[in-house]
Amino acid sequence: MTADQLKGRIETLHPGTLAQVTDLTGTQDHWQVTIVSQAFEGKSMIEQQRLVMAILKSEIDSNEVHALTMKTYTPAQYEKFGPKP
Amino acid sequence: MSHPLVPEVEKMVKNNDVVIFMKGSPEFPMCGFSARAVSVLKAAGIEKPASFDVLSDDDMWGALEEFTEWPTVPQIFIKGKFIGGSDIIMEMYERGELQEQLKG
Repeated sequence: MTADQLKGRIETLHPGTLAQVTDLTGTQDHWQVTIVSQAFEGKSMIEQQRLVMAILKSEIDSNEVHALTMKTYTPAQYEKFGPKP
Repeated sequence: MSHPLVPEVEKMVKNNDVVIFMKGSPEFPMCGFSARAVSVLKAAGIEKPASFDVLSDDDMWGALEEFTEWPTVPQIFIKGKFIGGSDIIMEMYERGELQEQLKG
């Protein structure tokens, strides 16, 4: 899965979702992802991450995505806790 | 069909305010992620969480995986609720949410 494919898939979560993906090892299977989405409203962090894992289930099950480190934010959480420029 | 030891996992997370299922023990973690989770809990004021070493018991590890449907260890529970692994606990600590949950 390429970075663009991964980003595209994650952004199907909800209209307006933004994902930034980093290939940690250069092997396209260890990813670090930052996601801002309205789909996360009202959800605990574990529920937010489960949502993301659900849309990547087949790739995770097949080990095509072997490791996924996530930071998830609602737009309001990103405003408050996101990395500052 | 549920794993026969799931009730054991449930009992443990109900009977303790904070539980960490990890590799090794809080004193001697056997994995960097487990060590990180223990230090985050410590930073949040939990010096001695109840803990279970999954390396010591494959059956309990299997039951835990089935109970949470979460593929990695460590796994932290607060007041009976599954919170997450080392990334989530770290991020919640940085946002102040972990401290809130431990208080509330």
